[in-house]
Amino acid sequence: MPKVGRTLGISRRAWMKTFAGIGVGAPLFKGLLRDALAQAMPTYPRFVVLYNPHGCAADLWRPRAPDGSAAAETGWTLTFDPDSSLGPLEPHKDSMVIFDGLDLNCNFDDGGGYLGHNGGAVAPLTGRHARATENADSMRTTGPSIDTFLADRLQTEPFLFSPTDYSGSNLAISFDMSGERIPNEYELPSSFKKWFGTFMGPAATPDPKAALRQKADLATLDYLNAEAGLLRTRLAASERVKLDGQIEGLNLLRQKLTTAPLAPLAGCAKPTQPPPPDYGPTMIHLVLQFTAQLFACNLTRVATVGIDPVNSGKMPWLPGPLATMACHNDIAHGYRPDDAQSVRNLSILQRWYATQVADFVTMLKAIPEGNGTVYDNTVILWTNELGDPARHMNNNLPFVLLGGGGAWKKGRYVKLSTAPEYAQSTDPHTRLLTSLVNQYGANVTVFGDPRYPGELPKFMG
Amino acid sequence: MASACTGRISGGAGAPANGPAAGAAGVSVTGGPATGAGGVATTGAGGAAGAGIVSASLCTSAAMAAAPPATRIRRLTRFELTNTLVDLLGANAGPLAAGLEPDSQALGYSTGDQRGVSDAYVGGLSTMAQGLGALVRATAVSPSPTFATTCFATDDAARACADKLVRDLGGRAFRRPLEDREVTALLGVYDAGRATGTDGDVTSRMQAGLDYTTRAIFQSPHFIFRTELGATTALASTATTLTPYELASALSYGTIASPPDATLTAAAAAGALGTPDQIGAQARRLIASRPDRFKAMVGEFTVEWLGINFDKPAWNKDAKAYPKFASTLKTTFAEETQAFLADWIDAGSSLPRLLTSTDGFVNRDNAPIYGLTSTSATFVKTPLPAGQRAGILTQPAFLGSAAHTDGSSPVYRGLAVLSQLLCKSAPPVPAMVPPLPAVDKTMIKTTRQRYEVHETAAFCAACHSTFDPMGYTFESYDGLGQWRTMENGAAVDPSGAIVGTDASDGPMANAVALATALAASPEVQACYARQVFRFDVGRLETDADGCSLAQATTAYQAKNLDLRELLVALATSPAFRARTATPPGGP
Repeated sequence: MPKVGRTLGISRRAWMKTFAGIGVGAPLFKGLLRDALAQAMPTYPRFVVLYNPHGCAADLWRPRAPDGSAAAETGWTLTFDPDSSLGPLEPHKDSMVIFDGLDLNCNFDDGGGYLGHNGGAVAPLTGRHARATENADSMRTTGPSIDTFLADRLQTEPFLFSPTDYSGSNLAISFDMSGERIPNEYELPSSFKKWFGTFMGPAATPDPKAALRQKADLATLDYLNAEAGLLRTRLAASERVKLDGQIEGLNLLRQKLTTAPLAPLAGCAKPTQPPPPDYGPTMIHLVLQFTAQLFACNLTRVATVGIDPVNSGKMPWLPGPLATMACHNDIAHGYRPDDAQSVRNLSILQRWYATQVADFVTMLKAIPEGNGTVYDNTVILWTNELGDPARHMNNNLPFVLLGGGGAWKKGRYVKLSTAPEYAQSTDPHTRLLTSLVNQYGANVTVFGDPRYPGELPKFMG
Repeated sequence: MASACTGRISGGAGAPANGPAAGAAGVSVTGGPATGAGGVATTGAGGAAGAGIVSASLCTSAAMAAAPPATRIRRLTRFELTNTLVDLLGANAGPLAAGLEPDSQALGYSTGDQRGVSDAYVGGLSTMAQGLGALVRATAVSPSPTFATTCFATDDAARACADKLVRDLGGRAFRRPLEDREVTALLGVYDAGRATGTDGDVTSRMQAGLDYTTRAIFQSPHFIFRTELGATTALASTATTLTPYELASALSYGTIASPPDATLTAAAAAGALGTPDQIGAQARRLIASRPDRFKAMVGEFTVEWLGINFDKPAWNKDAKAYPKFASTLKTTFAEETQAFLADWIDAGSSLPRLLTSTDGFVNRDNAPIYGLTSTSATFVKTPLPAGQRAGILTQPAFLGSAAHTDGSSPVYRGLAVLSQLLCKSAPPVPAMVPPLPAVDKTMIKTTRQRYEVHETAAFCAACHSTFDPMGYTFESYDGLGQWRTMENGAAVDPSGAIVGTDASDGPMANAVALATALAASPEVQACYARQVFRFDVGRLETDADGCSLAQATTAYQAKNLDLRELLVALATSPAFRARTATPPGGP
C-alpha cells in the first residue's frame, strides 16, 4: 500500500493520542480541557458536503454575463435562462464560488487509463483513485475523504446521509483514514433515533448520578482499550489494522464522554420523529431540515448529504416529458452537447438539485448564531460524480462552494480549462481539496493523490 | 451515482480485473495435472466426465509446497452476531444487533476477513451493548433462574455471583474459558458499574454492575472477533493450526453461522477435534441439529452469491412499466426464494437441482407474476412450466435484482453468470467512451435491440461480447421476472450462448437451456465450490488452497454435488485449520 498517508501534516493517531491523553480519567478537568482546546484551535466553520449524480450540462450550468455573453469573474448572473442549472441560487450568489473545469485527474493513470469505474464516487471527496487492481469496480481507496478528515480536525462525529445509499450498496462517498468506505445513514427515522434519541434539549434537568455513570463508562472503555491493545500485540501489522479502528473508535467515545457538549443554539429544538423514506419530492427537504436541526442543536459540525432521492429512477415531479424519463438511462445518458433539448433536459434535472441546495441555504440563514447566522459560519462544498454524463467523463466536474465560512473571496466564477477531452484535463480537483483543508489548518502539500500536489492558484481570490 | 453506470451487481467481486498477478486469487490454475498431484482425478458418480481433472489441476506441487495462509482474526458478521446473541441471551437479544452497520462486501461476501472495526461500528456496538446490558440487568431479580437468592443478600455475595456470570457468559461469548486476569478485569468494570445503582440497595447495585459488565463483554474484541491464531507458543513464520476452541468456532460458524454449542465446546475441551473424521462428524451433527440455522446461512450465502438485494434502487420498480408491482412483493419474492432454498436443502441441496428445478413456491401474492392464480396466503409448492422456468436463476428475486426499475438488463444478468457461475471477471471498463451515436427510436422495440445497437460497435463489443450472450437468454423475463414472448409489439429473442469457458461454450436457445448447461458444467461446479469457499473461509482462494479446494470439489462432485458435502469437505480440509504464524508486528 503506498504510504500516501504520510503526506498529511499530522497523523490522525497522533492527534487522537494528544487529545485522549488529556481526557482520560480526568473528568474534573473538563473546564480546563475546553480552555485548552479553545486556545489550541480556533473555531473553524462547519463543513458540509452536498452531492448528487448525473453530471452537468455545462452550457446551461455555468453563469453568464447579464448580456448573455461569457461570464467574467464577478458581475455574472444565474438566471439567464428559465431552465438554467443554477438559477435557484441567484439570491445567494454573493456567497458562492463556482469552479468551472476541475478534473478528477486522480482517477486516471499516467497513460490516461481509468483507475476504477466507480472513480466518480470514490475520487471527488478523497482526491484518490480506487484500489482498482483488486477489483475494477472497487469502492476502496487509500485515504480519507475530506469530510472524515475535517470531522477529525473539528473533533466532531459527522452526519453522513444519503437516501439512496442502501446497505450493501456499491456506492460510497465517505472514506475513513485507511480508505475503507464508511457506510452512511439512509433512513431518517433511524438517524433521528441515533442523533436525537437521548438528546435532552436545552431545558433538561441534570442527573445526580452523571459523574458515576461517566466513571463506569470510562472504566468500560479502559477495559476495552486494554483488551484490544493486548490482542493487538499478537497480530501481524496487516491484522492490527482491524483493531486499530476499534481503538480509535473507543478513543472517540472517550473524547465524547469527557468533552462538555457544545451548547445548543437558541434555535435548537428537538425535532419530531421524521417519517419513513418516500423517495418523493419532499424527501430531500426533510433530510436537509434534519441536518439544519443537528447544526442548531450543535450535535455535529460536519455533514455529508446526498441530495438525490431516486438515483437511476424517475422524478415524476419534474416538468413535462421529464416526468416519465429515467434520470440515468434517459436524461444523463441521453445528453449530447449538440442536441439542444437533451442539454435542456439535463439542466432541468440539475436545476432540481440546485433547488434543494437553495432550500438548505435558506434554512441555515434562518438560524441565528452569534452576530449572524449558521450560514455565516458554514462552508458547503457541492459536488457531483461526473462532467459529461453520457460519456462518463471524469473531467470538467461542477464544483460549487457556498456559505459564509472560510477566508476566501466569495461571489466569484472561477473559470479553469474546460476542454472536453480528458487528454486536455489540466486542473486536478485535488488542488481544491488541498486548499480547503489547509484553510482548516491542515498544512499539507496535497490532500489525496500525491501526483497532483499544491493548492488551487485561484482559490483565495 | 456511479452505480447506475457500472453494470455490476453488488455481492460479486469476482477475481481481480487485471488478470493473474503473483499469488492472484480466484484464477483457475491451468496447466494440467502436475506430477505427484495430491488431488484424486476421479469421475465419481454424479460428476460429469472430466470433473476430476478440473479439480485435480488445482492441487499442483506448487500448491502443496505453498505455505498456509497467515494467522488472522475474523470479525463476526451481523448475521453471525445476531445468531450468537440469540443463543447466548435469548430471542429478545437478536434484534439488538440490527443497528450495526451492514457488512461490507468489498471483496465479495459479507464474511470477508478484510472487515475490521470502524469508528461508526464502535458506536453501533456501544448502542447494542447497552441494550444487552439492560436485558441482563432485568434478569437480576430475586427469585430468578439465573441467580440464587443468596446473591441478593449482600454486596459481596452479589459480586461472587457476578464472578460466576463473568466466567459462564464470558466463556460462551469469547468461545473459550476466560483467564483469571480477564475475570479480574471484568469485575473491575462491575465495581464501577455497581456504584451507579441506588446507594444501599444490593439488588440495584448488582443490576447496575451486571449491566456494565455485560456491556464490556459484548464490546470486547474477544467477542466480536474470532481468532485464528493458533497456540500462543507457535514460533513466528512456522506452520501452526487453530486451537481446538478456535476450530470449534470456525466449524460452527462455517456450517450454521452460530456459536459452538455445549457438545462442540466439550469436544474441543477434551481434545476430540483433532482428526478429519472427528471434525467431519461434528460438522454433520451441527448441520443436522440446527436445520433452521443451516437454511438461514445457506439463504444468506445464496443471496449474496447471486446479488439478490431488495434494497437496490432497481427494486423501486416503475409503476407504469409494472402495474402489478407493489413494494410488499419484495418481501414475497425474498420469502419465495428462501422457501425454495429450504425445500432444496431438504431434497439434498444438489447444485443441478438449484439451477434447474421447476418447483415453484406460489402464494396469492406472487401467483400473478407467474400467470397463475392462488388464494393461499402461504407458499404452496407448485410445478412451474418446464419450458419457462429452471431453478433460482429464473426466480423474480434474481431477475428483478439484475434489472432496472423499468426494464430487464442483459448486462447485469450476463455479468452475474460470468462472475458468479463461471468465476471469470469482466474486462475493465475503458477510460473513455467515444461520442455515442444517435439512436433511431422507431426501429427499436425490444430491450435486446436497444442493447445490440449500442454494443455491436467494435469498441463496445470487445467487452460486452463476453457476457451479453449469456444475458440475452434471460430476455424471456422482464424486469420483474415475468415471462414474456413479446415486448412492445415485437417478438422477444432469448437466444444466446455460453462463451469464454474451457469446455462449456455453445449456443443456448434460452435461459432454461443455459441453466441446464451450467448445471452440467464441471467449470460451474468448480466455480460454485470456490464461491462457497470464499463465503465459508472469508477470503479469496490462493495457491495454498489448491489442494483443499480440489479435495472438496471432488468430494461433493462424488456425492451428487450436495452443498452439505462441500461444506463438510471444506471443514475437514487444511484450509480450515492450517495457518502460518506471522511475526507480531511483521507484515
